[in-house]
Amino acid sequence: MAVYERAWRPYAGRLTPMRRRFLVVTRYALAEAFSSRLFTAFYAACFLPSLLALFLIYISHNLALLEQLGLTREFMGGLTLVFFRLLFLWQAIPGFFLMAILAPGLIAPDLANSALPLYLSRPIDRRDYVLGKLAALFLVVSPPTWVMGLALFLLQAVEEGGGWGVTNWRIGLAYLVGHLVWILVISLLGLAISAWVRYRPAALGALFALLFVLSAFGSAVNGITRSSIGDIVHLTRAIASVVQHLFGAPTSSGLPVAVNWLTLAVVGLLSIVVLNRKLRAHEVVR
Amino acid sequence: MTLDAITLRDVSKFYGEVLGVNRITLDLKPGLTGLVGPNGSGKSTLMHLLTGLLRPTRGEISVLGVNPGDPERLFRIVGYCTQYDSFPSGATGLSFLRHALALHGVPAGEADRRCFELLQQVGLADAARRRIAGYSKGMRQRIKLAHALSHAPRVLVLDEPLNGLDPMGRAEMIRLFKELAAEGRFVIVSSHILHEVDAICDAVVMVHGGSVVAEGQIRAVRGEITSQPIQVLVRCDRPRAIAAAALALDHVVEAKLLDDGASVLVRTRDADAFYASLTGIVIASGTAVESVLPADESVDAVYGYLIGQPGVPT
Amino acid sequence: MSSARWLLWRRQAWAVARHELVRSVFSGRIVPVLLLVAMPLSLAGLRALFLPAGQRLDLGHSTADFAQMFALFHLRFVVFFACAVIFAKAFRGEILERSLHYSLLAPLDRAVLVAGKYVGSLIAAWLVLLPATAITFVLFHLPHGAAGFRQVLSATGASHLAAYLAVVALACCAYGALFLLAGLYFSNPMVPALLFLGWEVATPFLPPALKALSFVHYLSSLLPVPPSLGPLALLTRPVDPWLAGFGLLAATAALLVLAVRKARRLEVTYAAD
Repeated sequence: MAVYERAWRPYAGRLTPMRRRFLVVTRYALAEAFSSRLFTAFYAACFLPSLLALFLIYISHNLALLEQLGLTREFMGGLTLVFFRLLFLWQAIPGFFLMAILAPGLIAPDLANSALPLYLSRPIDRRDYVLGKLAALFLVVSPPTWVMGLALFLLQAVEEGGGWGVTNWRIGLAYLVGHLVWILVISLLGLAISAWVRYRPAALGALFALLFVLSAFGSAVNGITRSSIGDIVHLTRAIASVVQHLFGAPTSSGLPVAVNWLTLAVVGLLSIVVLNRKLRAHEVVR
Repeated sequence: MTLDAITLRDVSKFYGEVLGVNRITLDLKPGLTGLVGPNGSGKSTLMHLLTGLLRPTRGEISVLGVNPGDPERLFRIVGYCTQYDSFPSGATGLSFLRHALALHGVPAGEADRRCFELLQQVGLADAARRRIAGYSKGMRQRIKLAHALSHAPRVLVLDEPLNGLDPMGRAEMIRLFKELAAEGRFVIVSSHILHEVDAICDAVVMVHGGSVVAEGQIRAVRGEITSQPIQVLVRCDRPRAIAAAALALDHVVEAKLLDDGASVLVRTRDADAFYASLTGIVIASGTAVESVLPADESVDAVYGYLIGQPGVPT
Repeated sequence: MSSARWLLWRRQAWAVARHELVRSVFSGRIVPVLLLVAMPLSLAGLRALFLPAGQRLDLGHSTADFAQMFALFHLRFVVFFACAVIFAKAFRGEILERSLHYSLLAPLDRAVLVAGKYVGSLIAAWLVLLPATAITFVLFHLPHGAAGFRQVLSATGASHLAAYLAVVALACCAYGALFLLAGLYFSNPMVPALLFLGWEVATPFLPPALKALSFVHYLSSLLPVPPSLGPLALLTRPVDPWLAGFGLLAATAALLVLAVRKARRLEVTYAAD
């Protein structure tokens, strides 16, 4: 009978708790993203609209400076709903480009290089993998969008006083919910496309094609049917309408906001279905 | 440029600031040549340069008088089995070879006949119509070999061709390489498994860190390494007598009795002189000799000496 | 140049083209292209369902609607992205798949390789886009019943259809050459493709000197019915149709020459991609 000396000892150190294990995937995804100097520079540039807004809020409450600049308090009276809606747009556009740059490269290279079985042979499952990638997008896009937006809203509320924050609570809500919905839908869509097409260039093209072509298609359907039915597939208009509704402003879509919410929900669900189908730990014979 | 040799003159290749191969000068003759070196030593870069998949940053290359930058002429005489384990998506073994032959201008009927011959030759006739993506690693290696052989080239460049093959497959392929070399072709085989190259090659080129550290027939290369005495293993019934007599010779630096009690390992600076003296020693001591073997004239040992990690004689 | 060599080149170019055609049309890669061409077809179908009865008597509506849809949606988005999908992957797809070296290990002049891949991709693009354009054109006239069919078959209708098909064919030539080149030069050809799309979409609003640097400006000059581009568009005199056609073909040739130059210097370093 063979006798084996037990020389092997399992690792007995501290482990990352299971509920936070997906953040390991996030950490590596973030490291990969910020390894590009170009991306880091673009990321820094994404804060510019918010910084400009910060400057405007600051000077609008600095009477001495306004006087020096030859401006009156009324000049800055526009720091209201319109100002915050414009700021939202100028945060959302760079946020979209951040997601468009990052999302296609998060899953496609793992599939193209058959790396998924390696991930899934560790103690993480497919849900953790997707959650990890999603968290990477969320952590990257949040600071220049809703985090800065809410901070500016609070700053304006504090500076303005007199219940401004309470009166304009919808602005805060729109920043939080609007950006979160925008980030969630585009992130899920980007990850699903990344999983579907396997190659980063194709994934980037597909993401833009889906948004541009579907939007153009939606507009063409509206034109041809002389209705607003095309807005069902007009993803950017659906998001815009939801955000406008959150701000309490008139919506740009001719459809009820509930239909716009439904469009976003369907896109999100379809993306999850695609991710579920495509992320498998086996080689696909082509 | 010689029309019957593969020559590289002062060839270097940089990948940006990273050096791939450095000032390589080589003359390769017909027969089986082994290109050996560890992973990342520059073997594949050298093969890519020979086949025009990479352009040298400086230096000149000629393959039987053809510049590798002229694919039209080069690939009439060269077949290259690369290290890449990837294939056009959706290709079957048959369609893969058929397309290769079509690019050589072979008419469809003739191409089909040749495809089946090739598939037979590499043992894939039964899998001809199956998708390559579903092949095992060994089968993919075989189909790449068939691709390289498809136009019966004079020069075959094979990058790690035995990877993934089972022992039977390896033996078959080694036999095939030897046959091709015996026909007067140039068969250049890279490997990091040194004993494999030792077993099949007429000559070796040893690469390390992008430079050629030695080239030629392995025995001659070993003879050139004067800093390391040559080791000769003598198996006999009286190893002590042989060891004592050997130590009396000027060129013998060490005689070591091995644990089996029937062998002596002699280290000498002059192997030829030792072999000449050994006959006299054996007769004088009345020893029955079972075998006399060079213990470190293997690619493994020579490579170890050259890159500073002495090989262990076996 | 010997005739045997020409014959070999033709045979090789056709082998490459056939391979490319099979890769493009008879594989899963055709799915996004089919989804793209399904859009104008479904638009035509929706129009047939929703067109008010009053407008079904006026054939002019269909002509104008098709012109508008063709110029602003079909040409700018469907043809553009279909060409991007088909042509950009001719080289870049094989680089990403790590199978380009098989083409480079053949006794093939790289110019023949570029020509073969371009022709194969062009045939694939035409095979999908030309019938789709023709069917969409017919479907736009469908709500008018027999009068619509007579319109399609009339000299005017046929000449309009021929002009639209010529525009699509030329667009495939020009965009195809551009995306083939982008696939050779850029590890992610979709980035320049999207920038170029932005340029093409912005063309109506550009001054004449800048309009000349877009393809859509010349393609629009060949349209039988000029579309309405909105109040912000800067209107200029259309380019002479012959000059527009010749200009697009000349640009195609120039782009292909650049592609051949790049292909001749191409090295296989998949790890860098």
